[in-house]
Amino acid sequence: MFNIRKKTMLTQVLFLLLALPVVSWAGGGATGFIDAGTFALVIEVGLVLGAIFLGWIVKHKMGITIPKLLQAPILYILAYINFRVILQPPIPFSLLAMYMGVCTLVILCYCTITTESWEAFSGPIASMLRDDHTKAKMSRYATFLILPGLIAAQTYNTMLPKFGEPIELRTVHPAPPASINVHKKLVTLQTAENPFRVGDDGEYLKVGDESKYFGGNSWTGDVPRFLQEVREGGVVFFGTAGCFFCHGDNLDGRGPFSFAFNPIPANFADPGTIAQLQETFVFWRVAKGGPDLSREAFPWASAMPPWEKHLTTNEIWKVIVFEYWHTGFFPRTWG
Amino acid sequence: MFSVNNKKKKIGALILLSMIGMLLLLPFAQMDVSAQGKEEAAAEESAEPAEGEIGSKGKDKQYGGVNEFGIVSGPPAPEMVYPDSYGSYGDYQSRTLLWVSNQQHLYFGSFVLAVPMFVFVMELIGATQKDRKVGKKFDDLAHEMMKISLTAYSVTAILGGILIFTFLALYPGFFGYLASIFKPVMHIYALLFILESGVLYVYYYGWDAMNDGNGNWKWTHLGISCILNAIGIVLMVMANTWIGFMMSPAGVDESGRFLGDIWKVIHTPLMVPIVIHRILGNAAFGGGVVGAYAAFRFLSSKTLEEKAHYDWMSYIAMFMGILNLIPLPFAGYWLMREIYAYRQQMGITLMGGLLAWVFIMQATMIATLFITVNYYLFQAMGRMPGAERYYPAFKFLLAILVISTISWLTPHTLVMTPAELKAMGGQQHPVVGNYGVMSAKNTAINTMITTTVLTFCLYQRANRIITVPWAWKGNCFLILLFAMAWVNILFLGIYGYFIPANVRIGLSVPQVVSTLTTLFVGVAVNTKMLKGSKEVAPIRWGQMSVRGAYALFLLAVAFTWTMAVMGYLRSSVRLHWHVNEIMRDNSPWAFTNPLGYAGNINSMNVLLFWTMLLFVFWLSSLAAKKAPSKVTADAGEAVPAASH
Amino acid sequence: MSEKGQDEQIGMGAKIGFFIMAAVGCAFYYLIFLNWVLMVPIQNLPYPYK
Repeated sequence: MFNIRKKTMLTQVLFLLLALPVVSWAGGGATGFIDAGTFALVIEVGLVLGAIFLGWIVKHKMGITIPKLLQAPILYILAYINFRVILQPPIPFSLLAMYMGVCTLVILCYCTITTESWEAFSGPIASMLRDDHTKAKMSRYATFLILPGLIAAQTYNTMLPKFGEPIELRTVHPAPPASINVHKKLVTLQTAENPFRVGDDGEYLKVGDESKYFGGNSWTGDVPRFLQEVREGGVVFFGTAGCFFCHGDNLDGRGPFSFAFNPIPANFADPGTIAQLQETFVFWRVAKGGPDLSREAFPWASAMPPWEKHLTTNEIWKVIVFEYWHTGFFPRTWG
Repeated sequence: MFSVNNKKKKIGALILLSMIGMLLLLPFAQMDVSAQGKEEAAAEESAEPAEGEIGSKGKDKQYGGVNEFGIVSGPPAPEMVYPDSYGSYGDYQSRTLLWVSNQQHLYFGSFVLAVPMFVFVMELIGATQKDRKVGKKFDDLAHEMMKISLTAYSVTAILGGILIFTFLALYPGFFGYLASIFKPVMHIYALLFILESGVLYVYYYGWDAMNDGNGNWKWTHLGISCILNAIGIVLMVMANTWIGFMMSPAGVDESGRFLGDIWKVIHTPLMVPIVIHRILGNAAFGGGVVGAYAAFRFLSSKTLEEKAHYDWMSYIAMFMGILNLIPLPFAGYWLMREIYAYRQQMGITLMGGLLAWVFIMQATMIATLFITVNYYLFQAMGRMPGAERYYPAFKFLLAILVISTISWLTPHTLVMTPAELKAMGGQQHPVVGNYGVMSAKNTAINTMITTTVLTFCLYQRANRIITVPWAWKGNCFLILLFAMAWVNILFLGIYGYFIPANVRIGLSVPQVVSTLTTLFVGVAVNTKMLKGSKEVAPIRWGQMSVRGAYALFLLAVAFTWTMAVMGYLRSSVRLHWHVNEIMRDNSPWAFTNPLGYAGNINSMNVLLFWTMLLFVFWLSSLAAKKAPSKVTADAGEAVPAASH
Repeated sequence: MSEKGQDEQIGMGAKIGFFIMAAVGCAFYYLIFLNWVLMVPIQNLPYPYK
C-alpha cells in the first residue's frame, strides 16, 4: 500500500490536474489563447478527473463504501448534470437522449461486470421483492405505487398538446447535382477546378500547398499571386457581395444579420462545413443558393441568394479561395 | 471407411459432379458462338450500323483509356412506366415486400455461406491438433454446426425462390433488363448451386465415413470443405456483381446498352470493395450466429457437462466472430472511400446528407458490438480462477469504451427544433461538433478495438501465473505498446483537424496499423509470455454467468441488425434509380423512407430471421436428443463409425 | 505482478533502463515509422478509376 509521502504526492498531482482547467479558463478569458471548444474540453477532462479523485477520497480516505445500487443513480445523475448543465451551449434533446442511452447501458454493464458486483447490485432488489420483513414490504408497496404513477405521468405528458416548433431533420450538406450551368457554362462538379488556386508560377496549386500563404499579408506591395486572389476574394466577401453581413467578419456565421434567419447562416470556421467539402460543392451553393437546393434538402430552409445573378463566375471562385484561406481549412480532394 | 460398394457410388458421384461442372461451361460456349455469329453478321453487312444500333461502336459509361469503347450488343435500358412495368398488390409498397424477401434470403444465404467457413477452420484445427481428444472436440463442434447449416440450406433455397418470384411479380421490367445483361452469370450462378448442394451433401454425409482422426481421409474431407467454401464465395461474388452493377454500372453505354464484354459489367468500380466487405462481414456474422446457438444451448442445457461444452463452443465462436469483426470497419472505410471517389454525390448522400442518420444507427450498433464483446470477456473471466486481480481494471476499460462510444456516436447533422438551434448558435455545436467528423470517428473506433485487444490479453492471462524469466520486461513492453498506440491514435486524430482532407484519409492507415500492431504484436508477446506458465486452476467451463450468454445473444442480434441497416443504406443510396444513372425507378415507391419506417422494417426483418433461426436451432436439438443411444452404441464398439 | 522474488533481484536501474529503451523503441515505431516512413509511399498510390 501507499505510504503517507506517496499519498501526499499523488494528491498534489491530482490537484494540479484539477487546477489546470481553472488556469486555462483565466488564460482563455484574458488572451483568447484557447477557444470555447477546447476550453470546454479541458473543463470536461478536469471534471472527470475530479470525480475519480472524489470517489477515491470517499472510498480510501474516508472509508465509506457506497452500495452498488446507489452508485448507479449517482453516476447517472452526474452524467446528466454533465451533459445538460455543464456542456455549454446546450445540446439538443436528441443528442442528450443518445448520450444518456449510452450512459444507461454502460452503467448497467458497470454494475453487473463481475459476479460480486452483480450480487451487490441485485441483492437489495431481490430482497425488496422477496423478503418478508416490514422494510421490504413497505418499499414493495411504495415501488408498486410509484411505478404506475410514473407511467401515468408519462402518458399525461405525451397526451398534453404541445406548441413547440416541430423537430427538423435538416440535411446540412445535401448531395450536389453532377453538373450545373452557371452563366451558360457547364461546370462538372466532380472534376472542375478553381481557376484562381494558383501558385507563384501561375500553375494550379495542389491542395495543401497553400498553407505557406496562411497568415500572409495580402496588402503589401509585392504579394504572391495566390494572395492577390485572396485579396480580391476578400473584396468580394466584404464589399461586392457583402457576405459578412450574414457569415460574419470571422466567417463564423455570426454576422449582424445572422440571427434574423432561421436556420442561421453556415459557420465556415467549424471543421464540419467547408473543410469537409470540395471547392466545387461550395461553388454550387454560392452560385445557386437556396432556390436550387435538391429534393433531399427538405424543407429548403436556406436564405442564401443565388449569387450567380449578382457575381461573375470569377468572383465566386475568388471568394471561395478567400474563405479557405481565411479559415485555414483545405478543401476536400480525392487524390 | 468406404467399402467396395461405396467406391462405385463414389465414382458415380464424381462423374455426376464433373458433368455438372461441364454444364457450367455451357453459357460460355453459347456466348462465344453468339459473339462469332455477330461478327459474321457484321462482316456480311458492309454498311456501318447507325449509332446505338447493335453492332455499332458504343462509349463505355465508366471505363476510360483503352477500354473506353465496345461493340453495342444489347438494347438500351427500357423506360420504366407505372403501372405497366411494375406489378403491385393494391396500394401496398411493392418495394417493402421485395425488401423483406431480399433481406431474409440474404440472412440465410450469409448464414449458410459463413457456417462452412467457420466449420472449415474448426475442422482444420481439429485435424492439426496433437492431442487427439482436443482434436475430436473441435471435430464434433464442426460437425454439429454443419448439421444446423444443412437445415438452413433448404430454407435459403426456399427464400431464394420467393425472392425471384417477388422480383418477377413486382419488378418485371427491371429484372428483365438485369437478366438480359447478366444472363451468363445468372445461369452459372444457378448451376453452381447444384454443384454446391452436391459438395455439401458429400461433405456432410461423408463426415463420419471419412473421419479417421487426422489421417488421409480427414484431409480429403477438408479438401471437400475447401471446395465447398470456394463455391460459396464464388456464388456470393456473383450475387454481388449485380448489386455492384446497380450501384455503379460499367460495361454499358449511357443509355444502358450492353457493350459485349461481360467482365466489364462484373468488374464495376464498387465491386471489389463490396465483395471484400461482405466476405468479412459474412465470416463475422457466422461467428455471431454460432455463438448465439451455443448460448441458446448453454442456457437450455440441464447438465454441467453439456453446459461446459456449449460454454466452450460459445467462446470459440465469439473468438472467430471478433477476429473477422476487427478488420471489418477498415474494409468499410475503404468501401466508403471508393464510393466517394466514384460519385461525390453518393458519398455525401450517405455520410453527410439524406442518409447520414442511418449511419448513426449503424454506429450505435458497432459500439454495442464492441461493448458487448468486452462485457462477454469480463463475464467469461468470472469462470477463471485467478482473474480477480484484473477486476479493478474493468471499470477503466469500460470508461475508455464509453468515452470512445460517445464521440463515435455524435452525429454531424443534429436533429433539433429551431429553438434548440438558436440556443446552440448554429448547425454545429462548438464542442461536440468536433466529434461529428471523420477524424474523431477513426480515433474512437481504433481506441475501441485496441481496448478490446487489451481485454483479450487480460483474458488470456486470467487463470495463469507467468513464469518466464523475462516477465517484467514483457509486461513493461506490453504496457508501452498499448500506451503508445493510444497516444499515436489520439495524436493522429487531433492532427487530422489541421490538414487537407485527402491527407486526412491517409492518416487512417497509420492509425489502423497502430491498432493492428497491438493486435498482432501484443497478443503474440502475451501468448509467448504465457508459455510454460502455471495455472492457478483450470477454467471452470460451464460456470459462466448467464449474463455472458445473454451478451452473446445481444452480440448476434446486433450483428443482424447492423446487416439490415447497412443493407438498407447501401440499397437506398441509389435514391430514385434502379440502376444508377441508367434506369430510373418510376414507381410510386421511389422515395426515401422515413427513418422510423426503415427502422421498423429492419427490426421486423431481424425478428423474423431470429424466429426462423430459433426454429432451426430447436430442430437440431430435437435431433441431438437421439444422440445418447448412438453414443452407447459407439462405446460398445460393435457398430462401425459409418452409421449413415 | 508475477514472480515477486525474481523482480526484486533485478536492480531498479536496469528496469528504468529497459523501460526507457522500450519507450524509445515504441515511440520510434509508431510516431516515426508508421506515421512518416510508411505514409509516404501510401499517399502516392495510383487510383484505378480516374
